[in-house]
Amino acid sequence: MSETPANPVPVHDDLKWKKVLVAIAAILFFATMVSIGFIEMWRLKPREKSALAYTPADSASCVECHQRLTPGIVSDWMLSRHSEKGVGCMSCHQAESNEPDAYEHYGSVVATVVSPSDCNKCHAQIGHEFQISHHSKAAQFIGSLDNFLGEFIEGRQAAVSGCMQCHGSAVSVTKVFADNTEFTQDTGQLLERTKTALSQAGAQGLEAKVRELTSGAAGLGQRLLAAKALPSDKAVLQVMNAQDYASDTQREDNAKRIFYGLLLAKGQELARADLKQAGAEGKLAKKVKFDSDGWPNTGIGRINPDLSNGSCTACHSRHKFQVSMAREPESCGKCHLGPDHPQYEVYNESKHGIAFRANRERMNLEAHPWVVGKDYNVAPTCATCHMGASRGQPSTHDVGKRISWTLRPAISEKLEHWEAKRSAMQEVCSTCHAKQQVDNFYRQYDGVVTLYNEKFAKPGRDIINALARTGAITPSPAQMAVPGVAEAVKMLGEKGLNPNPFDDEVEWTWYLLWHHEGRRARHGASMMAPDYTQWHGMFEVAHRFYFELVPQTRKLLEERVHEGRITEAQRAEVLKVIDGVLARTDHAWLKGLSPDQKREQMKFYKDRYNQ
Amino acid sequence: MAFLRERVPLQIEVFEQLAKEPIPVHMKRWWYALGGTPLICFCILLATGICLTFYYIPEPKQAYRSVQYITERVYFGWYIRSMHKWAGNLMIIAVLLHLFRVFFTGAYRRPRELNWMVGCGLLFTILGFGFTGYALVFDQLSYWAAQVGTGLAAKTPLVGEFFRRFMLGGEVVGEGTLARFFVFHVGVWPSVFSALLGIHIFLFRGLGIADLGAKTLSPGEARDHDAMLKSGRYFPFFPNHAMTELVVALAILIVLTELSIVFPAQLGPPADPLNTPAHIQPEWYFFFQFQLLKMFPEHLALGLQLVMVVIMVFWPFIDGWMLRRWNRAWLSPCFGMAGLAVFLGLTVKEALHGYVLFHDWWPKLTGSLL
Repeated sequence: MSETPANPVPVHDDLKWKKVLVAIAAILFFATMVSIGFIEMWRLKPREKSALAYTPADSASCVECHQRLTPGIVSDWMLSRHSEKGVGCMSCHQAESNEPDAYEHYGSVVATVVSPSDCNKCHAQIGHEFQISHHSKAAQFIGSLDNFLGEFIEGRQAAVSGCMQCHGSAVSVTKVFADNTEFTQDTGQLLERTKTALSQAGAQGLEAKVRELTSGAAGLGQRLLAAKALPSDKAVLQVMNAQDYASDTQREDNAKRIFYGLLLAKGQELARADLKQAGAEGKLAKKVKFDSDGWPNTGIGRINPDLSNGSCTACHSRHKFQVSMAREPESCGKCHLGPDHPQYEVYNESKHGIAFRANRERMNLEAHPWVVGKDYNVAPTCATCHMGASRGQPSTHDVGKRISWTLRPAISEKLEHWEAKRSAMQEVCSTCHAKQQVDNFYRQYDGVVTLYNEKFAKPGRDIINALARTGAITPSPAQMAVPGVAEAVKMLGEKGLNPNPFDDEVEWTWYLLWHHEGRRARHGASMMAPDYTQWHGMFEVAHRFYFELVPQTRKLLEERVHEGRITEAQRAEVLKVIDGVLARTDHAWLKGLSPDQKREQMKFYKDRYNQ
Repeated sequence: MAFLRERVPLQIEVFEQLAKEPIPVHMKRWWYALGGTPLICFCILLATGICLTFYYIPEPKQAYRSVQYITERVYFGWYIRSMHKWAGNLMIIAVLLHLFRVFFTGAYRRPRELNWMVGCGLLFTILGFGFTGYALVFDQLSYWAAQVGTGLAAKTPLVGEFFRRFMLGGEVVGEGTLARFFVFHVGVWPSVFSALLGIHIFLFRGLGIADLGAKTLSPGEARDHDAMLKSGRYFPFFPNHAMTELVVALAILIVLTELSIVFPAQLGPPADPLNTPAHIQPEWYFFFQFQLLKMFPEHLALGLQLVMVVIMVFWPFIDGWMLRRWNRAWLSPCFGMAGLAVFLGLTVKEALHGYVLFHDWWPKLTGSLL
């Protein structure tokens, strides 16, 4: 054991020498750590300048403070593409002192409500598409039966927390100034006043705006200024002529854009006049108070304090502005669901919805661009068909651009330029389906809508109109144009009865037939949901028609004759309508089964159930 | 020390004795520190991995963004991620070098056959770490590497399809896959690795480090540490060898830091299931297998790999049998050289084939230097 190694190892074994090596390595390691520190400092230089990474300088203090106060907002924004691109708080919230909801906030002038006008500064094309869409006008439903139901039959708060959260509210706001004086803008009322002003004086006083809106359409500006009244985009369209824009659709789109531009300009003019009259022009508010009926609200047609229509956050959510969220069917399902318009449920039942759920991770929902057939193939969402880019067309925020039928009213109608709209939709379908399949699908869909229209909706409407004409029911204001109804209303008025669309049971029955069940059937057919088309749809329509609408009408007529409100002749007039309807061949089943039908049914139950 | 003696019911002398383990004098050569290098890398990987886990979200929609967030926004996130990446690569290199050194010095021979097999297990676990970790980034290349890797696993006879589904957690690379890969990367592999490493250390401490040129102790034969140290052919583990390992550890930290500065971990475009990248390539340590798959039909390539793995794991016994039969000690190094040549040859071939490799490195190098 004491022998020396046979093959001595030619290395230094001095522990002292190793300690020196350790010291040198430690110093070098420390130096590399210092260099890493410097690199990190250099990397974060912009962050130091503006408090946080990717925060533009003008928004640094907002982020710093709101990170403590409302961290959710800041964290959402940090995850957004806006933060990646350097779009900060002030890019959207910065305001001018005269804006209806502007106030001083730690040295800056800001507005809480970010309206589409703010978004349009960067997303002009999308903003334009949205403004001409049906979505943007969703809040302007005051005259509708739905609004009457929500606001008056159910009650205001049901409308505020229900209807308006989808349709949108009018956001009224009160400015509180340093001297504690206040100025309130009733936004809904301002909108009505603006419309009245445009319908009375046209575009008078809005010359600069007219020039801006009509650039490229020679002569249109003069014609608009000469028009005495411009109460709607349809009035603007009437002023236009065939040369103004390349096509009918372009002309219509531009009529909407021009009317909207004039409305905003006129509204702002009136709002400024109100401020001036109240002695508040140029005064900077120290805070603002929102009417709780109108705010918070992310309804898609919200009427904002600047009178712009809509709320981008309805689909994109606030601060994260997630494009993928807007592309998810759930996003549309916030409003498009339920007994009266179950598009979300219909989609879920369809093969499209099933394919989506099975392949959600292959949908590439964050992609930009997001072209069906290129960036994803596995399934369409609502956004794919109604808005998405395809191989043949760009994306659009005008959700009605590809819809050919309106399934909303009691009797469905094809929309203006429905052929173009349908062919746009068919182009999207063609990404995955051959022409014959698409054509035949549309034949099936048209078939259901026509069946509903002809067999139940038009007869139902004729019965209800006949009741209104005879005065057996107090009619809905929408029926006033029906011949004979005006006289009936007058006669009822003499008896102290006013028009009322919901005070008779038969009117509720009719409403449920078309507004709930009829729509369910039509929506089911439009998006390939068999159960909604049949059991939740046409089956319910048929039951409601044969066993509620018709019997209730007959019973009501008897009661009204008994009360002396209508005569026997008037009762006979309504019964004639009913009899006329039921005598048609499509209602012939009421007379009983034909021998062939009877034989078929007996055979079926015997074969299948031995009964 | 008195404080500990009173409170810890263990004989401190035992630890002192263990720390003074006699180390053969040949261990003073620097390349004999390779065995400790993977352990140092493992410690770095563990520390950086824990930091990364604070932010990483193993969910398809969030995975890529969380890696992006780590790289771009978290303080020192880029550095931690780069260290993790380079420590992983260095660990594989060190383990391979350690393996070749053990092989060519014959240190796997009796009574260390089992320790060689445990070492092979450690190598496969590390490759498992690499495969699962690479996929977690969820960028295009890592997504498709996972897709190809799991696809290949499916070709294994009998259990392939089950194995593929087990790894994917579904039909395609998605939520299930990421969750499973994540669990394996941060839970299963570290546990397996720690267990194997424990056995590896236990065995080599128990059997002693292979003493080149000295007689091998028969099982149960007592090791007289004092006599061994006095012989001049051994030196104590602490502080002499521990100091060497400390220098190596610091050197590794410096090298990894420099690599992280010059070649920070990159992030490709997000995973896109609909768009297959032009060049799909696994990490370099799978180049060998990848080339085999390109050269032979899938089943043959997989069969070859399986045979190679079996030969590698059981080599100490095969070598023993050859020695007994032919008594030609040079046979083993010859096989080793042949195996090494095939491994390096195929790895270099794939690297050269992956033109991207050079195409990609040069701008990165010049870009980061400028």
